[in-house]
Amino acid sequence: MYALMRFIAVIFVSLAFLSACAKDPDSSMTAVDDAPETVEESDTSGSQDESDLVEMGLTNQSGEEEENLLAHTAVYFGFDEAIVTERARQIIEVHAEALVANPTVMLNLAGHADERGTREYNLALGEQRANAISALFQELNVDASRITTVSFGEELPAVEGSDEESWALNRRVEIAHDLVQ
Amino acid sequence: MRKTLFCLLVLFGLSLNSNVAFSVITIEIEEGVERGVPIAIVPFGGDVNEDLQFSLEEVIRNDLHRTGKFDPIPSDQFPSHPSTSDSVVFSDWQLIGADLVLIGRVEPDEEKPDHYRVITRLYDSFEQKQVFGVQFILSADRFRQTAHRIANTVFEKVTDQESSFDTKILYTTSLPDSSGGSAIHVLYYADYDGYNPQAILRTGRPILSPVWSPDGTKIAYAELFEGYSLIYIQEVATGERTKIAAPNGYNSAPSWSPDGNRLAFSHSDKGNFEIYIYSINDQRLTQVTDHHQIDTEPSWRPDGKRLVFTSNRGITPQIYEASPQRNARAKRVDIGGRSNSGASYSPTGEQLVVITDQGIGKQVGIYDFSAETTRVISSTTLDDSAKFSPHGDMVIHVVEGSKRYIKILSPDGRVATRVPVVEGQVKQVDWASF
Repeated sequence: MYALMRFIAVIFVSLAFLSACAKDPDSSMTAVDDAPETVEESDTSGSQDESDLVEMGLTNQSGEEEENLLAHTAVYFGFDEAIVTERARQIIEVHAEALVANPTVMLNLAGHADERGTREYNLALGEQRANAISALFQELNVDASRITTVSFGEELPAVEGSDEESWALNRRVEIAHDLVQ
Repeated sequence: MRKTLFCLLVLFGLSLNSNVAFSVITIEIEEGVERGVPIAIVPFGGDVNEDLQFSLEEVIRNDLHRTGKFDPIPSDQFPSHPSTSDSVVFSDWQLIGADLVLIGRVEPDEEKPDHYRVITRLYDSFEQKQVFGVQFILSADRFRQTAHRIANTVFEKVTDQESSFDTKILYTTSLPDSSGGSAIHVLYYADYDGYNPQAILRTGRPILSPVWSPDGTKIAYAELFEGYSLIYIQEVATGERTKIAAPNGYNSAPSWSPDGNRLAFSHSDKGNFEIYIYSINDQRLTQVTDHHQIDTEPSWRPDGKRLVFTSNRGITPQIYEASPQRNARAKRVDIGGRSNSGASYSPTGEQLVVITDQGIGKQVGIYDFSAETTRVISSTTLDDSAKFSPHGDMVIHVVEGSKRYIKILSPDGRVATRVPVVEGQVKQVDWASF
């Protein structure tokens, strides 16, 4: 729910920012100042990073270069959440397409949590995240029999560090199959 | 200035060659100021190795201070260093505000070789009388334990409650493998203050949620493999361990029933964690919860009639309470804050210690069932693995982050001290219930 609200807020803010820039270059300073404030208002959990990730996706979408989403082998989550973000969905769609085209390739999904909160809850949360991504793959016609899910909880962080940036990179599901290097 | 807020009627009757007397201690506390009883713990006198004497006094001071119920006075304020009853000048101690004065002597025992005699006395400086006198005869390797027992005697006489100074903790650490492989995980037990650590398991896989059985003979824990985890019960004395007969998948978060006959735990078979109860004698399984969201971290109420557990059925993780039976109805414990997890009961069952997020991070909180209030007692914001001591006089927990460590808090949150660990990064901690 939070993620959706944040996402909507980010789109709104991004569009407002882009249109402000396009219309009147002089007013761009105002738009920049206003934008982060609006984002923070909707961002009660303090995971600014996720908003950044979503924003990055939007920029890339409207950018000139086609981004190779298959190169992304991890998708990220909000704090204490197992909700698939729009950015994650974009990445999973590309992976799913490749997997559907190569029906013998197996898929492994490893769910992880950041260090915050209790270790046991994080083990369960890692599983819930892996399951959420697994469900999306199945929705996108990747057969359940090809998917294995594991949870590592908070045991195997992608990056060491106890700050928002590190935590955002550790709240993830890692996507492993033979079609990615 | 000195307002009497409460009096403690204490019945004094000590074994161990102690004086037997009846007395009333009046504890003076300034109104509105939370503080402990000011106590002067005088360095013990006598004619033995200095290291041994120092450890006695230091151990006693730390023990009493950690509970928040005593405020030891810094030794540089002491007017003198008496070690016998005739050298205590009460008026001197009244001047520095020492309500209580503990003195002691250590001497080699005349009868048993390599044994010592510790004579210690506690005085109420305002009442100008002895609260207790006690003598211990011990071997050199029992000094720390004797210090804990002296501290326990002081605690009991003054508060009329038992202390947890002579109990044990369990903790897990991880350290990098020297050959560059995956981390090594070690399970230790130690005195509650971290001394006398003993490694009882070393493995290449994460050890989760070690918990001591109520009688102290066994330890249950989970070991995490790739894609599943197993719960083991290990005999403390022999190191022999058996896997519990639970279904495939993740089995974790074991919690002993108060009678030691059952383990509540969480289980997931590639779907979703639910709470189960495993009966140790007949290996029977009972599924307690059945919900499409996470249910984990069960913990028994000391009377065995309830379990608390963590669930995100209300979106964020929160604490629920249910009977330990099939398809039990779960009721939310309204702790407040944006999330709560890892709850366990106080020894009386009247409170929960919980990892609570009240907006600034994951902190240790105490929820009171009758008052329906939650008090945050830690100042750190990356807390995990909080447990009450067996007598409720302290709370232990792990602080996560780049340098993980174990902390002991007084239940009022006023006093926080670190517990030294052997090596590696601490993961979880448990306090033995015996």
